[in-house]
Amino acid sequence: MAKNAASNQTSSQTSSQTSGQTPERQQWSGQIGFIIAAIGSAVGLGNIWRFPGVAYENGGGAFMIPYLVALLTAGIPILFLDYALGHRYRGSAPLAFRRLGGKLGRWVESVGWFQVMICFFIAIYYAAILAWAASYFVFSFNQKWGQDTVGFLMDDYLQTDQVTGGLLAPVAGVMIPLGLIWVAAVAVMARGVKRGVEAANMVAMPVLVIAFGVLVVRALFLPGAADGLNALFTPDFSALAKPTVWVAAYAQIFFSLSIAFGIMLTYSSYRKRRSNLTSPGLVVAFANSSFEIMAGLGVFSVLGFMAHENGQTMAELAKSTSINGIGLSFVTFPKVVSEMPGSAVFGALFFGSLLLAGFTSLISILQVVSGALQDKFALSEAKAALTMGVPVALISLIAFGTKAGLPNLDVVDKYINEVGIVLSAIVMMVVTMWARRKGREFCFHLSALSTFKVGRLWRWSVSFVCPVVLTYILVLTVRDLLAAPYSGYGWRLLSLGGWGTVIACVVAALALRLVPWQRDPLEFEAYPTYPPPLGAKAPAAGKVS
Amino acid sequence: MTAAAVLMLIVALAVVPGGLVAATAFLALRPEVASYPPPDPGLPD
Repeated sequence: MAKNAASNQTSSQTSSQTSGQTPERQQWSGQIGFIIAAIGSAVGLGNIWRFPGVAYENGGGAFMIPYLVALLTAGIPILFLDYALGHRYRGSAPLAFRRLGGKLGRWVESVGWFQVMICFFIAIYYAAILAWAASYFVFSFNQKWGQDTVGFLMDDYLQTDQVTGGLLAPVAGVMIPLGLIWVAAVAVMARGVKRGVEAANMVAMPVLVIAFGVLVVRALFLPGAADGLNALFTPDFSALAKPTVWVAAYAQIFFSLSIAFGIMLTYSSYRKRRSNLTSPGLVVAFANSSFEIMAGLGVFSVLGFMAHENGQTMAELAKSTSINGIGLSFVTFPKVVSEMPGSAVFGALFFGSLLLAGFTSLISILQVVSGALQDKFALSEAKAALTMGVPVALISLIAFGTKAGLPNLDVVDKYINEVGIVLSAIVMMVVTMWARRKGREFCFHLSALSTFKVGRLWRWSVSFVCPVVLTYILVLTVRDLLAAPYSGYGWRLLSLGGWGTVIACVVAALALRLVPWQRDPLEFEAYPTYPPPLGAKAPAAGKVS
Repeated sequence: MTAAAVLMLIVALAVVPGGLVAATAFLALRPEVASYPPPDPGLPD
């Protein structure tokens, strides 16, 4: 077939005119490799340290109802949209959006670069948390944190109280593991999708599941574990009447599944053209949620043990102790580990699990950046890994390997997740479903190649339900962030590290679209052809309306 | 554990890990893509 796609044609127009000169794209070894890598990306720190606390604070057992509704009406549909974009347009986020955009492709490409920039900033601080987990993994063997776990974290480990040398003075205890994390991550990226990303996941994920499974089973048999599980699962059905509970459920699903900021889009672009997309997507989504339930069982069994040891009720414990995020992992858990039998093993299992879960997510985040560089500048995997890895690692080491690390991390994390990613999702759905009106074409693409068919419900979800819910969440978040300084931080830090980061993503996204492509981005053929040729046997298309 | 908590735990386990088992079984039983469209030898895979 001759391949001379005009730059202003849509993908379906392009499909009839192009030929076989498109360079071979990297690929997973097969369906299992893709599924394991996608689960590795979705299962991250948020599954372990965010879900249990969010569930407890939003109705306990009753939270499962909005959580499941959110999974089915937002999580899985947006996951499928990511798959459709990446797989149909066979590119990293900027390339896929460039091809999606048609005549507006040069502008729509910015949506992809916005997602790349989000990943760039997340990688910078995400690696720092992994460095902490690596340090605490080592500390577990002699419980170096002692009795005062808050003081140890803030003063001894992060040295946030020591002004000597200024805020940018390096903290060796963080810098060394952080440097090692970056070396490992760049090495994985340099080996490419199959030999690097997939291979790392194929090793890390089984180890993670076994290690975390052992930890959860051990935790279930601790004294007081039943009290912890009672607290987590006893339903408060009155909570279902509160909009904030539903918002929390949608936010949890949204942040947990690695959707709408380029990861799943990029991963699906490395699948073969004839690939089952939706059925593996269901496996990934339910595996991610299963891990969250498992984490809930483990974390609340441990918290129940802690309450039992302290002679407190779970409600008293939740008021006096952090049950979420960094506080849960690096303050509460070390305290519990010190109190329990077999503490070294338990601590190593917990922090080892955090490290593995986080590392597989980190490499998926980096793949978004690396894949974009490969596509835009026609770089090899190794060159892209170094081009991306060196500056990202240096920024990460300067920003988070120093005494200013904790406030920086907290602020960037808050704004990039709750403003940046939500904004990315809304723009992605509006551009795809409303501006480019690709609902039917993507429906056809997903169904024609998959054994689990999607149709009108999916289109309604990503056209109406998800944009409306996420816009509501974004408005609430922005209102709260403007009403009072987040966590009491100064406006200078919030402006630079918070709003500044989001604005930097937007500006960089608009600027990067102007950089010329090293290969014609529109020289490709969307497959299968849409609309299907007359007379073609199309069982899937018959269900798409 | 209270009866209500046990019930919600069972529901959670039935739906979420149950959903994982069902999705995996479905994928194992129907791993192949639909017959349409046919392979296109002119395209890189």
